Amino acid sequence: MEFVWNEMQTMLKDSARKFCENEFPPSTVKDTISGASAYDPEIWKKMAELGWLGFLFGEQYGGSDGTFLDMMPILEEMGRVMAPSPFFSSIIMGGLILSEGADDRLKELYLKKLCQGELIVTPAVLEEEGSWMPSTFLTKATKMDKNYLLQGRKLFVADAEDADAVLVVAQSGEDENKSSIFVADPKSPNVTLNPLKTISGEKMYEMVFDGVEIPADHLVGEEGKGRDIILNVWPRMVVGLCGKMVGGMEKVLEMTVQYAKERHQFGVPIGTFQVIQHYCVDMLTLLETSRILTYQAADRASGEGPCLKHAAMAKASCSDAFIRIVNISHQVHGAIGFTEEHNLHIYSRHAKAWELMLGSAGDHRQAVAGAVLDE
Amino acid sequence: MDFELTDEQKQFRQEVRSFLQAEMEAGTINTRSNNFFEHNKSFSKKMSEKGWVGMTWPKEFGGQGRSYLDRIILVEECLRVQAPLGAHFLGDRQVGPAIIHAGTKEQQDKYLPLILNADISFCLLFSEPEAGSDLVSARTLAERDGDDYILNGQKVWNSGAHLSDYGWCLAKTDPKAAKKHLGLSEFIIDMKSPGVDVRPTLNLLGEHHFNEVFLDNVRVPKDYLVGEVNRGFVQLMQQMDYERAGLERLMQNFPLYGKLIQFVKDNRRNGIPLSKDPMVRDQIAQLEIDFNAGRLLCYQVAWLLDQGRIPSREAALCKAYCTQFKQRLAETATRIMGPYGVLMPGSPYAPFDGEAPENYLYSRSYTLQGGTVEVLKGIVARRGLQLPTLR
Repeated sequence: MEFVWNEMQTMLKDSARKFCENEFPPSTVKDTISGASAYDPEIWKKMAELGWLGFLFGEQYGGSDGTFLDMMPILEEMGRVMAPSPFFSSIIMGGLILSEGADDRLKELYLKKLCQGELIVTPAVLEEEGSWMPSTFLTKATKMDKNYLLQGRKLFVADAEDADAVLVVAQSGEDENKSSIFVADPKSPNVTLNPLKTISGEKMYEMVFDGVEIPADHLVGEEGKGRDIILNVWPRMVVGLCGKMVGGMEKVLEMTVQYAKERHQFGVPIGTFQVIQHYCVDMLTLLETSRILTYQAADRASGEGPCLKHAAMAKASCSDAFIRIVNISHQVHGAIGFTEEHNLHIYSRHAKAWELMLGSAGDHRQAVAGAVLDE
Repeated sequence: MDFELTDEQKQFRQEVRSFLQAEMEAGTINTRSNNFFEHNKSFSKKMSEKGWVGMTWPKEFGGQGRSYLDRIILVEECLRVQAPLGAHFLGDRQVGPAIIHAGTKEQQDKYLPLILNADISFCLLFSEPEAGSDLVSARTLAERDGDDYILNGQKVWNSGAHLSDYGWCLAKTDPKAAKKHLGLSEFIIDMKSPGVDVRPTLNLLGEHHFNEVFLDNVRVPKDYLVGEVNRGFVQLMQQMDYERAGLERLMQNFPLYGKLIQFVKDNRRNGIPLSKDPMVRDQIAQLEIDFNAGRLLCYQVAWLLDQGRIPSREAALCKAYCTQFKQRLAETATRIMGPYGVLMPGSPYAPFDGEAPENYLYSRSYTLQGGTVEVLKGIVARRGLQLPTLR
């Protein structure tokens, strides 16, 4: 056992902190929330140069075959500043789906460009029901002569406007319960995008596919294996998000403790009051329990064994903890935290968005219960 | 970051498990919440023969010089089945290390072998009627008289004092000290000394675990004072960092968890097995998550100790979290059991002979013993978060 980052992970963390603080100051994040700022391809290029985009992927595609655990320091730092970036949708979701599910030819086509920073790829999974794994997808891919014809409506598609490729999960074949993943071109004339307005400013879209032709060789993996591919990648997506949440929680705690030391009322720093002290310790406890479950899950997800339960424990913990942490932080900050000028709302917005993204605490507790009670 | 145990550690866990399995088959172990504190000298002797008493102590003091991670594996397996550790637990965890740290050569030579061989047991004589969380206000007086000290005062909440050979006592040696925490010393007291009067204090279940101990002109040789005179409180706080965050803070009622899972698998309500009720599943999952987090925090503290670091903030946070988990476990277990959650030991129909409601009552003490949650949070706030204090 070892409860610290190793030398390499520490170096990654340090350089990620510098990069994120430079590239994503609070003003930029707020501009994204208000819609005044858009995706910056220059930053994407810089991330490619740092090796972040290819970090998890095979060397033959220009990646560096890094472990998922080694990726955690980077995700944590992106969460600390709430970096507005397609990194998560494109690398942790889209990239992992391609790398785990696609054949060499598709990887050659897409993963290489992804590693080089020349491509953004995002998954389109959720539909009106709002589930990652519904029993049946309403979006259908119908086999024509050489192609598939894609028909349906996807919701909550992240960064779709900036994406060069979309990984669409659709029902295909005879079996209603079987789904497949297709690489679709979001710029196709038969695709309509409608932006959704999200609490965190993260860019999400409704995406309508009205008879979009997909070449048969743009099927990811085998037909009918869509659910398996998503399930395979699921724990890593979940733990990756937990990593960002840990970073965000850490930052909120630091802001709050700092404020409690500086803010004077009744002639003394409010941090001298037991109520405030205990609030801060509650925040630290929420952070440290979520952190240790997250690191454990990341360690698991880097190995060969099953890690679904560990990922679910981490996300259930992070989802609840982040909300409680921002709740306490607002209470300690008082009125100043309620202003647009203050940075706290960046975090309360993301805490809510990420509480609900990739499964709520309740969803993940059901998964944990499955491991405890049904096995 | 690495959460895997080494092959040697896994093997050690297996060794402990086999030993305990044999003891269970022999009927030595009653797997019920809170039983780990039971005094069973012959069991403690067996642990001692295995080298499992004082296993983290340095070899030069007769210990095994093994890691805190090894010890936490041992303790985890023992707590899982609530093996009776009471006869050696405090000597092993607390008194021995304190003597190694602060004691004289003579004290080390005298007491350490006795603790290692599980020949003697200790109780703690810290709290007083007017000195609970505010331990530094202890009034018990130790006055020098030739080569002895004469102790007078009253101690309370002394677990197992009626079963112990020796007491580990905090007493005032300098009543005029400008700072109260610099006027106290630590003593070893032979509980059979004239003037030591141990009287039971029944807990809210009517059980006799703790006592009040009256010290009436108890004569203690001066070489029973451990460490430096008037440094007792400072020494004690240092020892606390070592003892605070053992797995016993998390797993004192661990058997109840297994029994609760058994209960929801075996019982039906409203036409479905309880284990299929989403509300029940949600609550069980929350326990599972909280238990795992607490367990990892304990392992982290053990690891920090192995790195030679003093985990004062981590241990205090860990203990506060873990003791609250134990309490929630008892609450959740009774709640899920529904009407059966009120049936006490001896009652017809009581699941697991009433362990859940019994433990619900007992669990009041979990968040108080060895430093209340509030005291611990204060420590974390000041030492961990560097929040200011008015004092």
